[in-house]
This record gives sequence, C-alpha cells and structure tokens, in this order.
Amino acid sequence: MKLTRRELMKYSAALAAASAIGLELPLPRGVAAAAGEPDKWVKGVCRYCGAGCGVYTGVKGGKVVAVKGDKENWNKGFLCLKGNFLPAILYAPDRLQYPLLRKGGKFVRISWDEAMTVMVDKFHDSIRKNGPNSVAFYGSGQAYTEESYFINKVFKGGLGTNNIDGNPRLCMASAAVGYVSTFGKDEPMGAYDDINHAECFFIIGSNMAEAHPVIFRLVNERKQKGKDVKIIMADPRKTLSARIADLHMSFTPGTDLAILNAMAHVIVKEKLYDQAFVDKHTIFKTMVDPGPPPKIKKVVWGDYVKFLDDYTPEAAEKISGCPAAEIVKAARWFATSKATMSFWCMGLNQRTRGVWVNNLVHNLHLLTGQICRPGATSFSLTGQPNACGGVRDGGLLSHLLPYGRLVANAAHREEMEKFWGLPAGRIQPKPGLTAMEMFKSVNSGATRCLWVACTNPGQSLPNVDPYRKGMASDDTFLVVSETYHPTRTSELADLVLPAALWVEKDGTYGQSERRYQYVEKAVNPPGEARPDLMVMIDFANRLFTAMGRKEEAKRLFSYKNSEEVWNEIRLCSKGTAYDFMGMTRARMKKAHGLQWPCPTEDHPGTVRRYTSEYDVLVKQQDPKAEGVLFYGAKADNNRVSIWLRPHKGPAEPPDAEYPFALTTGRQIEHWHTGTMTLKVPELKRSAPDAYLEINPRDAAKIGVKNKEKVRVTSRRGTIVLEAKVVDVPRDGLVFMPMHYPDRMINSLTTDAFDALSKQPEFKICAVKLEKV
Amino acid sequence: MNRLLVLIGLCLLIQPQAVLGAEKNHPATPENQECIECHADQEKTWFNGKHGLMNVKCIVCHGAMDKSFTASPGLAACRGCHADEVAQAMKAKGKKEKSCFSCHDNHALTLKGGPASPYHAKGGK
Repeated sequence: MKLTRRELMKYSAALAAASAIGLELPLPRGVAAAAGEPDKWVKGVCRYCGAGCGVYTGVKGGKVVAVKGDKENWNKGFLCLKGNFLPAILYAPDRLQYPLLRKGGKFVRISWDEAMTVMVDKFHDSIRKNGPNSVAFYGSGQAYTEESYFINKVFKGGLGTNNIDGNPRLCMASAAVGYVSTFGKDEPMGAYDDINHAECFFIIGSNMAEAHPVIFRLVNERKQKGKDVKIIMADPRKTLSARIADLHMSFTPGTDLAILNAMAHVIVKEKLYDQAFVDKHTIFKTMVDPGPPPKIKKVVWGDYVKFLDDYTPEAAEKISGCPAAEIVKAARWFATSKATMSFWCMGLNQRTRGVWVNNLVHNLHLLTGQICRPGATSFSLTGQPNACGGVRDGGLLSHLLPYGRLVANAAHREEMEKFWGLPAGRIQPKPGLTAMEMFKSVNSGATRCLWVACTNPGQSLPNVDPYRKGMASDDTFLVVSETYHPTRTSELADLVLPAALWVEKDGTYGQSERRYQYVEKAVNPPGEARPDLMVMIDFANRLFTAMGRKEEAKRLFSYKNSEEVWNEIRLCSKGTAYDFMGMTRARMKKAHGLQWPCPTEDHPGTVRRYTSEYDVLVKQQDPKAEGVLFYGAKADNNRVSIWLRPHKGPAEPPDAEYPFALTTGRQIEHWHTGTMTLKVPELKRSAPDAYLEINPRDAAKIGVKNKEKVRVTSRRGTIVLEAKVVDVPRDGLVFMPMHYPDRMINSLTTDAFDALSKQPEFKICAVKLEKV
Repeated sequence: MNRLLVLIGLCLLIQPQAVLGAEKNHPATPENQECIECHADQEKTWFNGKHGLMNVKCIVCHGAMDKSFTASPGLAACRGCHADEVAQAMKAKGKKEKSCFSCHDNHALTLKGGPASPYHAKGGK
C-alpha cells in the first residue's frame, strides 16, 4: 500500500493526539514503506510455530513497522505468509492494557496492586484451607523459557504441588514420550541441516506446506536440487504438501500403525534392514499390561519377526485402504535410500495411540540404520515456538522436572531440591494433573484456583463445552494472563492480567531442532501490560510473604530480569544431556541460535546427537566410543528400543450413526486459536472463516454443493459451516480448520486421550452431516 | 499522421494510469469470495510458480480488500523474504526500475528475460 503524504500526516496527527491521552493506535499497513527505513533492526524469532525462523523486527519511533527474515539463521532469510505480517499482531485494537476483575458479572478496570492482592488472597486462602494441590497452573509452549522455568520452580519447588502442566500436552506429549520410550531421552537427534543431505523424505501426519512452510521450503529446495530425492507423503488428505510428493499414500484415518508395521514387515522379509546396527544398538520391547503402571517385557528379534507376520502389506491394505504396492514401494525407498529423514506432526501426536505410532516411525529408522548420519534422522515437527525449550526441556509438565528429570524419580527430586535449596521431600513424588485431568478437576471443584497464561483453553481443549462451564463456574477462581481481551478463555475469567507480547519483552525460545534463540526486546508493551515473568516474580514474592515465608521467597525468587533466570537455567542444565552452559546471554545475543548440547562457551553447538562425530557428550559418556552411542538409554546399556506395537484404531471410529471421520488442522494464514492472526486484516481476508472440507463424491452423497451450509454433528455437539467441496480428503473423511473463535470446532472433538502421553485425540472423531 | 501517432501515444500513456487508478480501490467483495473467482488466470500462473508452491498468497503483494489493497505492489511487500534485494533496489531509486516487477513477471515471479537485474547479483531466490 502506498500511503499518501496527506494520509501519513493525518495518521501522525491522530497518533500524537492519541498518545497525549494514553491511547495506542494501530499502525496501518504500509507505514514502513511510506515512512522509509526503520531506525533499527532488532534480532529475534518468529512468534508463531515451532520452526523458529530467525526474524528481524524493524523499529521506527518506538513501533515495530516491518519484519524481515534473518539470512544468517537456518531459514536463510525466508518467512512464511504469517511471519510476513507479524507487526500487526502488536497493534490489534483488542490489546488488553490494564488488569480486569470480574465484579457483579462485569469486568472492571483495577490497578496491578489490587490485581495482585486479590490473586494472592485467593491462592493463599485455597492453599490454607485445601492444601497446595487445590491450586494449579496451565502454561504454554509460547511462553519464554525463563517464564516457564520460574513458574515451575514456584509450584513444584516452592508450593510443593505438581499441578502444573502446559498446552504442549495437547500437541507434543506423544512425541516427547515417543522419544523417551525409544531413545531414553526426549527431543530429536537430528536437525534441519539433515534436509540438505536426505535422499528420501517420509512425511506422515504433517501438512508442512501450511503448518511449517519454511521447513517445507527447504525440503522443496532439496527436492529441486537433488537428482534422485524421493518424497513419500502419508496422509488421508491430499494437502498442498503433497504437491511435491513422489508417492502419496492415502489411508483410513487412524490405521497408520498397521501401515508402519507393514513397512517394517517388508524391510525384514526383503532383508533391507541393517543387521550390524540392529545388533549393536537396539533391543526389543513389548507391553504386556497397559497398567498403570504399564508392564514392559524385553523380547528378542525372533519375537519381533513373528509379531510382524500379522502385518503383511496385504493385511495392512485391508485395515487401512492403502494399496499394498504403495506400502512395499515406501518401505523399499525408506530402507534403500542413502539417507532417509522422517517428519511428522499432529497427525501422529494427537491420537489415542500417539506414543505407539511415534515408536513405530522410530522403529523404521532403527531397523534400517537410517539415523545419526547426515540426512538420516527421525524428526518430530513442533507446533509452538517454545514447546521444546520451555515446556519439554524446562519440565513444565506435571510429570517432569527440568532438563530430563522426572517427578517420579527420587534421585531427580533430590537433585532439584538441592539445586533449588529446598528442604528434602518438598517436591512431591506423585506426578500432578495433566491438562485434561486438570480441567476435569476444575469441573469437579477440586481445583479452586487456576492460573492460565499465554494460552486459550476455552477454545482449544477438545470437547470444550463442559470444560468451559467449569472455567466459568464460581467454584474456581480463574486467572488468565492474556495479550488480548476478550478471548474465549479470558471471557470466562475472574481476573485478566494484561501481558506483553513477543518483542515487547525479552527471553529465550527453543525450537524443534534443539536450537535455542534469544528474542531481544524491541519496543515497550502498551498501557500497563507487563511481561509474564515480572508478574510471576511479583506473585511468588507476595504469596510467600502472605504465607509467612518471606525469607524463603527472597532466597528462591529474587530475580531482577530474565537474564538472571537464564543463568540459573544454564546451571540447571549443566551435566545433563541438555547441557547448554556455553549459551551465555552475551553469546546468544550475537548468535543466530545455538543447538544444545553446548557445554562450553567455545562449543559451536551440536547439529547431530548420539554420534561421536558431532556430539561431544558421546566421549564424555564413554571415552572409547566411536560412532553412534545412544547415551540417553543408559538403563538399557545404551541400547534403544524397537517396540512391538500392535495396530489399534481411534477411540471413536465412524459408524452407521456417525458415518464420517472428522479431522481438524491448520491453514497457512492462521495459527492456533487465531487470537493473533485473525487480527491481521490481510490474513483475515485471505482466510476469513471456518469451513467443512469435503470431497465431491461425499458432497454428492449428502446432496450439498460448494458454499452451501452443512450441519456437522458429533456425539458432543453441533455446528453449521459452509461446505468447501474439493478433492482433498479421502472418501469418508471431512476436515475443518481449528482457528476460529466464532466456530468452536472443539465442541465436536473427543477428549479421549493417549494412556501414556495423556494427549487427546483431536485428529479423529465421528460425525454425521446434513445439508441445512 | 504525426498527430495520430501522438494521440495513440497519449492514449497508451494515459490508459494504464486510468486502469491503475480504478484498481486502487478494489470493488467490495463478499467475505467468502476468493481471488481466484475473478482472477483465475493470474491465480493459475501464480500457483504454478515458485511462490505458488510456497503459498505466498495474493495478500502478500496486494493486501486485503480494504484500505491496504494495492493493484501495483511496492518494494516493501517483498522485503519479508528478500530484504537485501529490496534494500538494493531502494538505494537505486532514481534509476528507471523501482519495483521488483520491473524485472520479475507479475505472478510467475520469474525473470522476464534479458539481462540479469541490475539491483542484485543473483536474482531473487
């Protein structure tokens, strides 16, 4: 847009007048172009997905007026559609600028001091009367690492409750438990750099072209440059990602466990496995009793081969509808390429068998030795910018302690109690409430105070309606730290705290490839909005003072800024598999991200883990080790697990009454619950509303045409949407985007969850369709 | 004859301006109307090009249908991903070419042919 001088003058005058009375005005698009170059460019990271693209924000007159990709970072200067429009999220008209308290059914403006006083009174009262397990915190993979670490310390270490969980429970928990159960430690061993070396890509349960566009760009670049690069895309929808695929494997939703076992069957029968790798590095396991706790048995190669007998490609075709010939072709390409890289995302994770299906992808890499070499790796894509760094690594899940430590492990608890300077026994041995359990506990009234920060469960929880009732109930005091108001969660709150957003505060993000990056503060937050970390520190000190533990608070919670927290975090990671002592704040300010482990200040970071060529920790664990050493699996003599995981379908498959499978997912324009992207006029215009994606054959069956209205009903709810008739989903499958607050698609989804990861099955539920 | 040539020349000069002027304000569209419904040819060219494959959609260059709409995108629209190239082109203001689209086809975004752009050595990636 070209802004005329007259328009610019009018805008400037309005801005000056607004500033004089303390109001913030949104910046119209094109201000940067009209006003010339920004005064400065500030280095940071994109606010959206877990790809973690390096971004510079252009600042002029105290406002972010432009963004550009960081050419020196992994993304080579490229941004996606959403990233390109980042400045507008800071200046949306619904930015919350001061605390709000619900009084007499209405929100009224209050001071920060009053807000903190009310909040501390409620939490203190609840703890005094009902114990520390009556309060809970629900955090986010979008909070900075320093924020997540600090609040974890307050709850698990200070208050002695493990009722602290985060929204990565809804998106990454199955990937995390998948890595831990196979490799002994969480997080991928590989990196985006593997894309440059892979000859075969196996992409399953991921629409990268829309959900992780800049990673997809790298894969496409590799495809264009590499002579014989093959791309296998396994997805019940033929998405935009499939445009670059050599083989698109479509299958009945929820039957991919059978397909993955059948690929292993082909690899074994055709002797395409790497015998030496299997012999040296793996063991075989099966679960004989799901528990809890699950009872696991070690088995041998022969048992595994026998187990695979049931999964011939023909048998898998019967279960999945995926042609046997495609399964055979995929298995051969996977096993025989010079280097195979797998990618997956929510299509595998958001499932009642999420962990199992993760294990089955790892199995293929371990069988074929397609791992720990350039281009050969098993790589989970991440949905949020700091799900890995802040929540999985930092331990903001109810069963975790920071940096690979577990609540249920006595030695780990003792270690953290000593590190934090706590009395022995302070950290409770029983894991706390996971996300869905936490909101059930709100419904039952057992959780009396809940603090939700940087996330929107009032829209994003599966089967959301009953949980909305619980959040709205007077039985629970709900505090919501939010950037915008109202959201579908803040509208239910008793107290809403205005939060600084993205480059209005500083902190550390850790993304999918173990790359940690520092986001520098570029501008001030509007009005009275504050960084969540500062609010958390204030809250902790006030609460402990109210509880008569002022001295303890001084010892535990006296931080002046995020760098002081970061320095403690570095120490906490020291000596663990995550070791990032070498990532000083000064170094992080200059670097374009560093990948852990990075134990010393002269260490360049680790592109690939578990191999002596790249990973310094291998020699630390075993000075004689050469090549691969899976040191995460110490309990099994550094051998990782090939799991016998039988096929099991979804919790709610289609049936006669509800004959269609519904899946939910992303559009490139929007992110999560749309609180940010739907405020960007261009993104809103490009993708204005939810729809029901249905193929022409199914549309004809129910007698609906493109843009006609359809009533979608599951066992939990009903919504009416416009039909988008395109030949993308397979027969019997319909799709809806997840982003729109006025279209609560999670009124339909099921809250059944994986028994191991506790992650819900957003991706599959049964629905019926009627033309309206 | 000369007067006729001058008249034709004037028409050629004026007509594109008139068209661009008209397109500064995009006609009002229903929210669920997609660009492709009226601009199928442009959409097809774009979709089959690199920017189409990477889903760099219409809005990046043309804005929304509100005040931000532009029929002729400026340099800033490309800066998110091509910052160096845009910076070089901005420095070169005063020369004839000021827009990425002087050298790159409007919707395929390929080089139009002829010598490489004088503004950046390798061309846009």
